[in-house]
Amino acid sequence: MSHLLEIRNLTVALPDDSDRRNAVENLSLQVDRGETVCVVGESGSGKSVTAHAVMQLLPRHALTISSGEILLEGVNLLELDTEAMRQYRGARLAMVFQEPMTALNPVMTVGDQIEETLLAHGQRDGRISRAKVLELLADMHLPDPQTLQHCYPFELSGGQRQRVVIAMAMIMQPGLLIADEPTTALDVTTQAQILKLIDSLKRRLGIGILFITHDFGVVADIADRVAVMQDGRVVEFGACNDVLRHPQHPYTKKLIAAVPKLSTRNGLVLTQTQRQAEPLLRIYKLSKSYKGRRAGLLSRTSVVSALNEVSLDIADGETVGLLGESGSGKTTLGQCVVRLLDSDSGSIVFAGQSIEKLKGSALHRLRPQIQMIFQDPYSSLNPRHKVGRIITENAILHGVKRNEANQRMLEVLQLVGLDATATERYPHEFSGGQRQRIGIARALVLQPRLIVADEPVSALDVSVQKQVLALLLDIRRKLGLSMLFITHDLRVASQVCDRIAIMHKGKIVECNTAEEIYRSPEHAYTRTLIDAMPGRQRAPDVQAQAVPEQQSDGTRSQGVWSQTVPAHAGDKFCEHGQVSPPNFKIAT
Amino acid sequence: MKTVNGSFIRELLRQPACVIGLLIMLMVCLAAIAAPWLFPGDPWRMVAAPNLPPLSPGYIFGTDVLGRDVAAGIVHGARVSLLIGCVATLVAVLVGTVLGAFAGYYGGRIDDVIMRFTEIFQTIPSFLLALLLVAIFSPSVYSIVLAIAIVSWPSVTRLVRAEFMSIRTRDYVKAAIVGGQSGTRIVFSQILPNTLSPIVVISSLMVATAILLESAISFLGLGDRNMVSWGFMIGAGRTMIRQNWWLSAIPGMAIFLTVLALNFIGDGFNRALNPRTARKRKVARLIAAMEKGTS
Repeated sequence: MSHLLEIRNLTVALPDDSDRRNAVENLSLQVDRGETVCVVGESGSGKSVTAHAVMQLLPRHALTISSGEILLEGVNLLELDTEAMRQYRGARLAMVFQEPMTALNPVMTVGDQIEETLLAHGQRDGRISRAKVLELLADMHLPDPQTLQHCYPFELSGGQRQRVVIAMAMIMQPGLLIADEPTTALDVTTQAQILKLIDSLKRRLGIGILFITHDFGVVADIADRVAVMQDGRVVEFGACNDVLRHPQHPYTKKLIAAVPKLSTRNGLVLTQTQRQAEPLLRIYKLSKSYKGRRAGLLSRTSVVSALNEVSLDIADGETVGLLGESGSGKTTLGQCVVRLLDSDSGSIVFAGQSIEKLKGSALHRLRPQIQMIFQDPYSSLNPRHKVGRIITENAILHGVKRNEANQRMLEVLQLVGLDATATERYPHEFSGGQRQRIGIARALVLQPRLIVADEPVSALDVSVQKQVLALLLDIRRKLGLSMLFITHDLRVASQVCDRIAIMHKGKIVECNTAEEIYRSPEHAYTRTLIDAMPGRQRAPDVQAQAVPEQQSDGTRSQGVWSQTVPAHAGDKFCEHGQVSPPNFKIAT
Repeated sequence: MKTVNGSFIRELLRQPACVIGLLIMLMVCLAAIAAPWLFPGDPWRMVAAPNLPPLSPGYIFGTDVLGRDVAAGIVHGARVSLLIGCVATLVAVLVGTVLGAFAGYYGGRIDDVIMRFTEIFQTIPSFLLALLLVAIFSPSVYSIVLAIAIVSWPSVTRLVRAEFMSIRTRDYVKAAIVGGQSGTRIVFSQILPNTLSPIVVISSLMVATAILLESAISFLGLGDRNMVSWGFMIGAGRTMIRQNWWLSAIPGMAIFLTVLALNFIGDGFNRALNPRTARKRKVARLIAAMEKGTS
């Protein structure tokens, strides 16, 4: 029997002045009916280009298919004319996009948008198509289809929007569904639901699915077969279990090894005396709400509560994870701590000083002690400044002499693993991971006592993510910093954090060590989060591991903590008397 | 900026319209600079028989009713047009940028005050206001520059404000705040360098508008009496347009070419500076957008 989709030796050329010749090179893969084929790769690997090539949505003039065949049920899509291809799109193959907000037209109701596809394929009878839309919306497990069809996209949640996008793709019952990172923009719990929905479509309707993703956890959950892409080539293609358990290609091995695992290494356990000692940072009953837009001249402003009496302590040298979904208030809390936002009520005590109301020169003196690492390495560095200036500027403003600032910069650069030649270059000359290192260096050069890291690795590819996490662990081991680590990923949090605070709707619902949270989650929401973690159901190699991880270089092992005073950089940092390596006991 | 200079110039030269614009402006500037040597003495002087048609020997653009050399008027007029256009734009851009920067960065009350003030100027018809100001201050180069600057800064303010509002939410601005930098420092050293491209583009277009405004003011006879200007020449030749068409047409052509050239250059700058339209960077952006799922 012929394959549903067969891509033969596909090559997509890049324009002449690009850094490599082809976006996709000599790619062959097949998708059969009733199976999900995952294409995995890091950014720039050509996986999205492949998906767009099948749909023939490649930007004209910029990317051209130079050779190869794309056969759908034996018909070469590349030989179809525009009109024939239009009839194929939607009817025989359909696509689900990453960002549901931009995939839907904001000025049309969702019912009309789904119906539009039917109209484009010749369904003129409004009653039939309406009935179909309603049936499909119910099929997607959307609540109350009758009302929902008249909603505009902005009235729906992210997960509901993605369900509508899937409904739009499925309305003509295409044989092939192409999903381009359909869950990347969603929260973990929503992601789990959408994956389940896509999987059930495959089982029920026997369609073939080409699923593009960067997350091996998602692959483990959904794939029957996997194609691993690197620099436009498929380096490995095989059954899901084989690839995940016995990866052949070194690149696949590297990617799988880099997938963050749920680590239950023992964090820092505070002794009784330390527990009684004053924590470095004490957040007490902090509240913050945002004023919404007034609906009319006379109506009152709506108020959204982002933080609702949040209390949290961070001890000297401790790393606390702040875990939650988008909208849970975790970023707001982080920004209140670094004083980017003003809180409404409650207090923040840092090193014995109440800081939530500081202003002017007092705030200026506090600034260097609490630093921040940002999520997006592409927007966190000023594109017009050289790296040297980016790193030293703030230190010089705080009265450090230029020579000493440069000296500190060199030490910090060495610490984050960058070359001293970096200082003379502009941010755009660096990769995402290197930029993140520069951002970390900028924070460290001020010799802070507390670092607020807002999703520092979530914009990075897995392999880079692993390196940056190792770097963060290394830094806190060497410098004994405290850290508030904001993330949405339990696996990442478990690798660096001593304790994890789970945030939900502006409240901290649970706070415990990673191991306790994983073994015996107390709050119902925590359990949902753990269940939604991708890669839990299958393929034990990628599955979250509940066994204590081997002590790797970055993590703390017995005794390391007491010998942490580092040979070079650390001395400088301790000299100033602010930071000394805490003498904590390590529980093993 | 420094690192992209080479590619910026290459990007400019890749656009034929922009190259034409640059050549025209080069000629206008050379003419303006060389005016005292090309046509020494006062351009108002009567030098030949009146009403000589263009291409007469020695008087390439002919002479007017009083026997004044039109070519001398055009070349000296270029000085006035460029001077007024550039100085008025410079003043307007400086004022507009500073006001827009603070309004956009601080927002809230400061933004309200600055924007309401800006709107006062935007709601008054700008040409009438300019005429009125020139009439009140008595016509001179200074009053004309001032009048043009006063009616043109609001558009700069709005543009700069919008740019600042978008850039102030970037993480590097947050990093500067957390690093303890003052508001003024962030405005001028962190954000302003990143808004220069649209400011450069709007400036080149504003020079063109300023030249047109000046011509219109002079056409109506409110120009500086001591300086010959293109607008004044058109106005003076207007009564003779049926007999001596060149008296209006030649300075009109000069204005047309200069304004067109400035617009070409403005568009060229816009394409070369704006990463959305710069050809080379477009491809990379498309691929990135595709991966992010926003294509």
